[in-house]
Amino acid sequence: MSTLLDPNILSKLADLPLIARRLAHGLLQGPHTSMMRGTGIEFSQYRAYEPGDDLARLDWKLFARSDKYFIRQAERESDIKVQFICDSSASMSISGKSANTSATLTKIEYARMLIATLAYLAQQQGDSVSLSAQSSTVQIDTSMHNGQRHLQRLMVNLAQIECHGIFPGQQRQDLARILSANMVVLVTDFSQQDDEIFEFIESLAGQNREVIVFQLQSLQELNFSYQGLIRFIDPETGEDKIVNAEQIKTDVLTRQQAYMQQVKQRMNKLGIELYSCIIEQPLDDALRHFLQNRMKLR
Amino acid sequence: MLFSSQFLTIVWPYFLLALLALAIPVWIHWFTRQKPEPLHFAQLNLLPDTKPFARKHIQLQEKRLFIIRSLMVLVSVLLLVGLMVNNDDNRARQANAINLLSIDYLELISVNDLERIAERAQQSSSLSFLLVPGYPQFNDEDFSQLITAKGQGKERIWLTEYCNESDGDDSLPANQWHGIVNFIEYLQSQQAYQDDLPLNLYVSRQLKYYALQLNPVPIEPELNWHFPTTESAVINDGLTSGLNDIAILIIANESRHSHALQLQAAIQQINLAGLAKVNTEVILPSQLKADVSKLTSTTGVILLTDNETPTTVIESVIDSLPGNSFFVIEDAIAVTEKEKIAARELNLGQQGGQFAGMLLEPVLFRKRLNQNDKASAFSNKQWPILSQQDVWTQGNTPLLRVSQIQPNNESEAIRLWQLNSRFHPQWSDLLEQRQLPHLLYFLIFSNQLNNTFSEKYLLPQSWLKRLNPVDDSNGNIGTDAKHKVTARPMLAKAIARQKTQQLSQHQKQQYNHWQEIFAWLLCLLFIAERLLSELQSRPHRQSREGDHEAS
Repeated sequence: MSTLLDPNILSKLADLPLIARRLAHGLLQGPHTSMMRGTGIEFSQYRAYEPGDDLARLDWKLFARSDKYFIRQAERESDIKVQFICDSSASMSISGKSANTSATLTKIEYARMLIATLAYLAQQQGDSVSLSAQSSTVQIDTSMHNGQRHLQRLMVNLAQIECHGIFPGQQRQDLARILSANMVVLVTDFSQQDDEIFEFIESLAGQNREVIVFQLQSLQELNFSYQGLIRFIDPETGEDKIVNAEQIKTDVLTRQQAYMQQVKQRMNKLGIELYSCIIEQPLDDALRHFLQNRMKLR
Repeated sequence: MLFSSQFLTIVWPYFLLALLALAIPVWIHWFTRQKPEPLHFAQLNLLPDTKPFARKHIQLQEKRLFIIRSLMVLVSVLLLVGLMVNNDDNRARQANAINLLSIDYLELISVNDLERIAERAQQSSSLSFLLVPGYPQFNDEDFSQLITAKGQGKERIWLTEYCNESDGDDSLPANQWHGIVNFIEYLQSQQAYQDDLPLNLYVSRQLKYYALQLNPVPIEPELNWHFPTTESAVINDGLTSGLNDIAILIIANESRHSHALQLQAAIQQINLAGLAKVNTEVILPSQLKADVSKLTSTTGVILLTDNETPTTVIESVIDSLPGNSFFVIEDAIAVTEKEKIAARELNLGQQGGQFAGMLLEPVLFRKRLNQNDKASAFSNKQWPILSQQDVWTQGNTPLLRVSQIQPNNESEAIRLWQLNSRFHPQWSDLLEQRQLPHLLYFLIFSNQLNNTFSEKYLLPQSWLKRLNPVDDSNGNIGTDAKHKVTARPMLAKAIARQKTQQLSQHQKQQYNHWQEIFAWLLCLLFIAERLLSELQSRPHRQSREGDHEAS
């Protein structure tokens, strides 16, 4: 797993496309066979045979000519519309705490990289991608297209996302376009005031539309590993509570588990894939887990 | 600076102010409210509305740390102030006497005596001060020369380390005051000295004489006077009559009778001062003629001459005096021109009572001890001169000359003091005032030719006026109030200062011992503080590590 990229290092890199490419290539060259290239009509490239490759994909003619084993690869054609939705409410600006370094990744940075990588992967297999950043104050929307240039525009938009306000309610202009997508990927921390995220997800679920939700959490939030007297401030509403962290830890963890259970139940009920990501952990892990799951579903 | 009680000694008590630093841990641990750390948290609704018990809880947690930190500050301060606990041995070594050692005493005593004093002072842990009265020009170089000459071993160290301390007074250091006036002022000022330690004064008899003459010094406890054993050679040389029985014959005609009585009174002052017991008798030259045997039982003779005094008196006195005695005559020493003498002749009648001293007027004859001097008044009689020395000169003019002469081959030498009263401008004052007894004392008791008469002991005019108020030109009478001594309790100051500055050898060892203890204690407390601090912060780290493992 030497290719795992430390989120702290990634946080220092400003070049989002580079990160996405690096992450995607890391995944493609990993132990698993490539998802996006394989059998198809349009020839793409040859590559050397590797043990484990399907013998059916061997180019026997080429073997006859060169006496070497090559696998014939072709670009898969796809017309899936993938809509990426990034929760850009203020709570996404919360960063994780690193034990040994001061550099930490915020949820929004993690979300940017995650979306950028997935968008890159989708673009590589010819899918149309679109990005929508959701907050009560700023909304970023890109059109649904495929192609390298569109991906670059998406990356730029992705980098420009800023966290403000709360997650918006049902009244939104882009819902129709979102609903036209075949696959919706939502990256959120499930920080909501009044079930607005649940309601939004429920509105997305439907036939011929796959909804995938990435829930971002920090380790501190997950374990409530805070110490001493803390004034907890809700970045979305500005409300605060002064508590002793150790004193309420058990209570909070119980409540949190109940809430997570509720989230999982509701997602399961809607048939939505839910992936929990810890922002202090390498992004590769989350992506690999996601892609492996996708392979199983295939 | 040093504070010392029965149980404790603090070398730098002012640093006790550093104890205020104890307020720092107190402030940090007890008065500083813990400020809640602001943190963004997404799901505030997950947090229960529990009232935090943070402050009290944290205080309880850190109580041990507070105690250790306070102890650290306390031990640091104790290390800084140089605290030491006095044990029995240390208490016994507290200073038990004050020694004032005058510089003239130092000059007169032998090395052995000095060694004895130094040893006694060190054994008794007494505080010692060197007094420099009567030496206006005495400087550090002189002092070091004197120490080099006198001190050889321990006593030199004692002199340099213990006696040469200053009381830190800007104007006049206690042990470096100059002149007899300072000494007397010093003693007078000691009314403020209220220490129960005995005060040992190591001085010459002259100083004691002045001290007692000028003003009784009301000091409690009493002053313990110590005199050099070699000061008076007459006494030490085994004068048969001893201190209590010195007989002096004053030979004077009726015209000098008043002067003779004055002399007698001056000698009486010596008796009153307790320096010696001198019996005096005033006789006429004619009486001496009749009974020369008086001379055989006398220690010394003072001859006051006038016009009618026959020169034969001198001869008969010198011939009849027993050996080892002295003979004081008024003389005009080393005056070679008769005209000059005549020109300076004074008329006693004109001088009146103002100069009712031993003025040699008129001088009718010139006395020469020089055998080659034909004009000598003693031309009829020649005595072999064993040695001769001018002990007091004014410029090139000798004022006091002592000669050892041998009347005949069989007899012992006698001292012939020639007092040139004529040519010293201060002479009338000297005789009139309080210096006369001193001069007499010097003449009587000193037979050492190298023991020169010191002008340093002469009182200045202002002091003479104070002591003997006379009508000045305006008819006003000088009073003591006019010349009030600005007495300062310098000895008390100096003693207090030296008490606070001077650590005995034993105390130094104690000091080092306690400093070592406090330093170790501080190290241990520091380690304990670090460990405890580490232990308190460990749960934080463990929880963080636990988070990682869990993830």
